[in-house]
Amino acid sequence: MKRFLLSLVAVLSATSASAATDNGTVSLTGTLESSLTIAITANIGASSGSGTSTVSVGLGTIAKSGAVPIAVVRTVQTTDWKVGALIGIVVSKANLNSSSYTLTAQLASSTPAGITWKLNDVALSHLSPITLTSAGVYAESLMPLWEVVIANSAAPTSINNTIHFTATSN
Amino acid sequence: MRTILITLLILALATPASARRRSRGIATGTKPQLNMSFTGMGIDTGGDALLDAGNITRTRGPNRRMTARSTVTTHTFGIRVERAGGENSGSVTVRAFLEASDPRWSIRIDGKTIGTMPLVIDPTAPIGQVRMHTMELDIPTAMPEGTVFNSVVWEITTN
Repeated sequence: MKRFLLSLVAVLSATSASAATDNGTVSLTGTLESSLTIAITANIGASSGSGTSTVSVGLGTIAKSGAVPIAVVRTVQTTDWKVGALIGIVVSKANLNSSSYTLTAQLASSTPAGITWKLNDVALSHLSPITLTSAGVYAESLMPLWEVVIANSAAPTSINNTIHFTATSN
Repeated sequence: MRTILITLLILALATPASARRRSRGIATGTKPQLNMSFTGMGIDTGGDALLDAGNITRTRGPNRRMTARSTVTTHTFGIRVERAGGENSGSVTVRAFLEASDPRWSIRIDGKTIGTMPLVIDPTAPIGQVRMHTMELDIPTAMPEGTVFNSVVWEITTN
């Protein structure tokens, strides 16, 4: 019996000696912020950045007649002519309790005389934004028609400009 | 002699294994004390650390990526295990678990999602060296804004 107890104590002692331990704690903290993101799809002419929030569209040289860039439709009217294309806009939300959004658009700079930029047949201005929708559905594509209307009287010039889209949660 | 042996036996059985494990920094038996410390956490205070992820937004960044349903923030940090007295040989098993369950978001360490049960992160972390790990905070886009908080408890045991 004494030999058994000795053996048992020896085993227990050996187990205890080999099990050194330690512990520690890493506390994690952070502030989760809500956000909206805009993705613009515009595979028009020579475009780049389609699917991101910054898209560049190059139409090259356009005229009342002749070739038109890819995905662009030209319409010739009595006093003016226009080129247009559909663009896709998807607004997504993250960590936000909101069921809809308002989307506005505004030009970055004034347009030359006789040239008008439009979205869904509403003229754009650099002075104030227009509202494209006040009940946008998140993650669904909005497809406004973008047009540049050129009066027959307009002098040949660059039509470069930028549309700033702003999405605001409702 | 017999009485001494019986007393020793009772003493050895009296201390539960879990109690020995939870005694911070106390090594059992004759081995020198183990010390675990963190590096790269921002605020490291010996065996404990605070990782402040700051403002977490759904934007791309050097430590942030976005999946369709979540924003993942990655932090790289190190764990050093040492023995008091400088006997830095052998290895330890490193386990981690969450102090509290929060099903709204998840934490991955080296790609393993951890829960409230201890999970082996590193089965053979060498004593005396810093072993690097990655911690990912995976926050779904459906989670409402606000403060996120939890604690990861780390345990090391000699092999």
